[in-house]
Amino acid sequence: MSTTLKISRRSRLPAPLVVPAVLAAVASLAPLAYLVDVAFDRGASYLWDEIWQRRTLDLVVRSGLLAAAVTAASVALSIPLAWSVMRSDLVGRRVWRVVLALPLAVPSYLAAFAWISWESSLAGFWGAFLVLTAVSYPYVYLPLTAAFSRLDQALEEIASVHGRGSTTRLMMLAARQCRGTIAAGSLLVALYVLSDFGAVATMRYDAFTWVIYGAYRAGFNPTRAAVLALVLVLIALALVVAEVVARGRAVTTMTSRAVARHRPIRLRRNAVWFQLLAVAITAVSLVFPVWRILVWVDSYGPEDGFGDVMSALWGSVRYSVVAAVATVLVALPIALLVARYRTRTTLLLDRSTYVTHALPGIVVAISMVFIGVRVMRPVYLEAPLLVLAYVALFLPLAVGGIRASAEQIPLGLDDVARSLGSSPMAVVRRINLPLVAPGLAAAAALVTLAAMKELPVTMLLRPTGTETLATRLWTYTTVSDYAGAGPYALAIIVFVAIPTAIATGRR
Amino acid sequence: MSTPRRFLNVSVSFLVAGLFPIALVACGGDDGESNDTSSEIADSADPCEGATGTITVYSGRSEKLVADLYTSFSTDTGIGVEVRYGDSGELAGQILTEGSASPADVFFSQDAGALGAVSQVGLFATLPTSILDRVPSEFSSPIGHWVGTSGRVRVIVYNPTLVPAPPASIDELLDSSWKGKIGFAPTNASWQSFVTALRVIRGEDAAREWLQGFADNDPVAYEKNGAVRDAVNAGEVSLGLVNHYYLFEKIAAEGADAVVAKNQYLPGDIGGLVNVAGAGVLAESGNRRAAQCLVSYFVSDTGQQYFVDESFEYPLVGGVAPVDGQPAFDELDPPAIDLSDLSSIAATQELLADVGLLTL
Amino acid sequence: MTDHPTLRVSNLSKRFGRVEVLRGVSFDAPDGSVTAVLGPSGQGKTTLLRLIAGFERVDQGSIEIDGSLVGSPDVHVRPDRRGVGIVPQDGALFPHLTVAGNIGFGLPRGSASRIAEMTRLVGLDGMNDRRPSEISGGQQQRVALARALAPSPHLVLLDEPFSALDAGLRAGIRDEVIAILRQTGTTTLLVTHDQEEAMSIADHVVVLLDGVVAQQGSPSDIYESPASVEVARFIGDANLLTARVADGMVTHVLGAQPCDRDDGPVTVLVRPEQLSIAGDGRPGIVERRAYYGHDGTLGVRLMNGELVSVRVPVEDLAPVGAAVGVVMRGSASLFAD
Repeated sequence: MSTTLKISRRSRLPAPLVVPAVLAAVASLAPLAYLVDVAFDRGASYLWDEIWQRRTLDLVVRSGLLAAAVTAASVALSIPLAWSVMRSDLVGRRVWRVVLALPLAVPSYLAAFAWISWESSLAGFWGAFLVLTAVSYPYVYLPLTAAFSRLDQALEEIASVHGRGSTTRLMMLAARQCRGTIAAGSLLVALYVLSDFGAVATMRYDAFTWVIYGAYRAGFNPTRAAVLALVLVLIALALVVAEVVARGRAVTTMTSRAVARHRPIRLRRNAVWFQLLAVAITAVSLVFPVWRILVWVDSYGPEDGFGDVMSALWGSVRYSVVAAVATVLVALPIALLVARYRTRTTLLLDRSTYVTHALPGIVVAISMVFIGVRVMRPVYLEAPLLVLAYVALFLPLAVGGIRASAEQIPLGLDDVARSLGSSPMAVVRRINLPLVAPGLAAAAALVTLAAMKELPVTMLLRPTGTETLATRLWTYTTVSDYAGAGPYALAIIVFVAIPTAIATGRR
Repeated sequence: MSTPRRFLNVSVSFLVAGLFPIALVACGGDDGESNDTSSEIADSADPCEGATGTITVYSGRSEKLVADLYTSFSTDTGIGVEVRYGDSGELAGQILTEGSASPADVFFSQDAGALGAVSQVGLFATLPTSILDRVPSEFSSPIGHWVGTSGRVRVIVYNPTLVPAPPASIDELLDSSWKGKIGFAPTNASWQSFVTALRVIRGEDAAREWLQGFADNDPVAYEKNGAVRDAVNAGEVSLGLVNHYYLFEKIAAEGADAVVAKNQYLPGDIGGLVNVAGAGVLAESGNRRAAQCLVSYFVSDTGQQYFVDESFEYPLVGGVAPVDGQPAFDELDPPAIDLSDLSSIAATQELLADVGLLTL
Repeated sequence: MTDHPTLRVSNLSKRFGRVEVLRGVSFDAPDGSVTAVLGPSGQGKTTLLRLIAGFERVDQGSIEIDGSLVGSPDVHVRPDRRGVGIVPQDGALFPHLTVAGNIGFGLPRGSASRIAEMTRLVGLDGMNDRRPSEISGGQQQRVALARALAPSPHLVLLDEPFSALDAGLRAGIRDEVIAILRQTGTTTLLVTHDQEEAMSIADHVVVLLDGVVAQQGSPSDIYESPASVEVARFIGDANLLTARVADGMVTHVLGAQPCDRDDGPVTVLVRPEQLSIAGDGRPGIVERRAYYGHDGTLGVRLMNGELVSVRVPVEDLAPVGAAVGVVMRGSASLFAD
């Protein structure tokens, strides 16, 4: 079509977006700069020796294995779950749709404590696999439900006409149409697994993060920790590239209508299998941890008063909400640039935000300590630095969410607005912002819950003398005082589940 | 399009250029020159004289354990205390990373290893002798950087129904009759301190030999000491290598009737290592007098009694009695070792990894 | 300043990377005229429009609007300062604004009377508070036009504005839109790939083939005297026949006519409507047959093997396989081989 606007042919980028976006991207690369600096502390040959060690290789294999297994399981679970709640006549699908997203609200360390306090022999690969799959599959499930809802029903009808109407075939047909979405979700899961600390630490699975933590903590060997973290960054980078390649080839047939109306596909006898799957997943990822927490709460002695719980809750809410607002503000220019002016530069900006996200929180925390105490001494161990660290950590979450809604705005709208006398920034204000507003709210909710769950950065950078739900919980669980941890665990579940439900319901 | 890309490049190089000199300065400051400046206010009879203001404490000892102590210190002295709780190793890592810019005035650590690491890079000030003299010299930094505040002794916790005659030495644990029956916590700092002591006292080769023998006996790894104790009490394993107070904690929490496990002390054996919690004052502290006042409070009779009552640890100051049911402190006869040497944790972890007892 | 055309494009070139999308394009759009840029998809029409609107920068040549230079390698007036209105293919209404909000987008605050005037002009009274999703495609297109016209632009660019509409609606909306444009005297540049659309509504047609202006002129000029085989083929159905010039006469299978060319082989163009079926015509066999209701076409294979398309009244629609005679009216256009 001669009227299709080629995205690569956009005019020059508006500076009011570029400057903050570049600053944000560069700032989110700061932890990397610190790592490179420390890794080369003892010279390149030391770095080389550290990398080419059997144990480093083992580590790559162990972490890679875990990431691959969890990602594969998340995809395998999310396809039937997302498909049955979006495109079939599954009974209770409206409720399932939301319930199945809720495990996103369970912090990995909390889930891990729940399981290991119940059955200690779960420690190791299988425990880590179980917990990480249970908490991270929504990263595939959620975008997939959105993609399925936009999928053109014509495909399913054609498939039915051609006698390829078995439930599994229809499901796989739909899934193939959403390969790009699955690839993007898989990337999030894999990065999550690689950077997760809580689950592997609790399950004592020797993945990168735990070993890096050990090198920092007890080993006082920041160089090795930095070297390992760099290796981890390279793996993450390879994943990001792989995802870009996978996404580039994927073709999706979406309807042009905003929400495709379609007749749900009848599951008939198969319905029971889909119901069982949904029940099983919910039992493992949601009901079990909540049940354990209730057991803990039930055995709760008056370790802490109600006031302690409330002040920790206030700490969590305050910092995470401020962080969410700040992250969304920082993410907005990047998301708009990538969505509205896609060039190699803007893609680079977008991808650079993933670097910090892929780093284990503990590494980000330490590098923020290093940079913060020297460059931002007045706010070191004060709220602004903590918020800044959250922004660096969760930028890609917000960018991804905003970008998705910004990409849905036809580029033609910007052109028309320009021709009607609007400056580039007026276009952002009058067209882009109102249209991405729902995306902004969802992104803010996502960041809020991520920040409330976050542990290592909160631990190291929280203002001295203040506690959050996560740090309180950690304090009790490190001494295996599950009863004491109970109220905090419960509060996290309740107060993180709410934003999760909002984020899920908004779509 | 070329404009933003050029700008990005410039920004990155600006950032990198900005960070590296800072890093160099930070690394260059690690030569311990701060020692000289400490004597100016040292050795006044009362470290708390004229101390006011507010100090920041990095507390590797948990809030549950020591929060009340900080409160009573503030009440007694009028000095405000801002506490940053965390894991000792983590906080030591944080201080090392912060370098001379650390906002911490006092580092209160669970173990000597973390203190040694901070001492080694010269970030501690020398403490006044009035504080150091309260505690036997073997339980403090030999160069006066930190003082021990309470002691923990390594013991064998055993289940008497499974083990009528517990071993009296760690060397007996290598006997094949214990195969698969020993619990330990490979990542626990006290365990690693014990292995470090083994290396320092017996030498690398002998330490490796013992560890190899221990590993060949298929010990059962647990996450933490508390889990080892519980496993012993439940009969999952026959005995475990832990600190002495875990048993007393369980008795206090669940009552003596619920606990069948017992402690076997190892006087005269390297396995009976006494490790200490301790505290030091940061060289760059902006309020060193108040910081020293807090450390002196830890080794005061009030402070010492607090540790005995709350954590069942050994007091390090004469005249304060340990918990009933524990052997007297001077009967413990621990191995002679400079506790600052326990900071060579990295080498210990390498060794443990080599024999397969730890994954690095 | 009346000696300036509203739009003057001079020697305009644009490349993207290695691809030269426009080469030396020149044309004028006189004040108050409707000019159509006609060409197949992907041959630079949209790029031309984006250059005029200011969304792209000029590599070579110049663009003048009302006599002032707005685009050249050295000058680039921003799109928001060109006073050019746009009506895109899909309307591109702002979905978060009402009809009135859309129409008033380019107006200063408090322009309610102008909005009302425009709403009336495009016949959408009473729909001010509707959202774009609540009105029909044709109505959306009219809102888009009102929105473009509201700030009284020098020039309005229509980018395939009717191609997204249903065939049944298209002609009606098209005539309506052009009538409004003519009524307001707005200079209009219409980009389209539909030659029928261009021919029926434009005063002036610029044929853009492969980034180059292949021909420009009035619709009848272009239809009757195409400048090249390519133009001929693109504008309407064309029978292209081999022919030979000898001694001032060109001879082809359907006849001969005088010409002033040198001797040699040439190609001649004969429109289907110049042909008809008659018993004494050139004999041939019907190979294809298409029925359009009001009339039809026959594809006839002539004796020399050439296939010609003949527009015939319904009663002349012979069956496939029938032997017919083909006769030609008027003269053929010649192109050198």
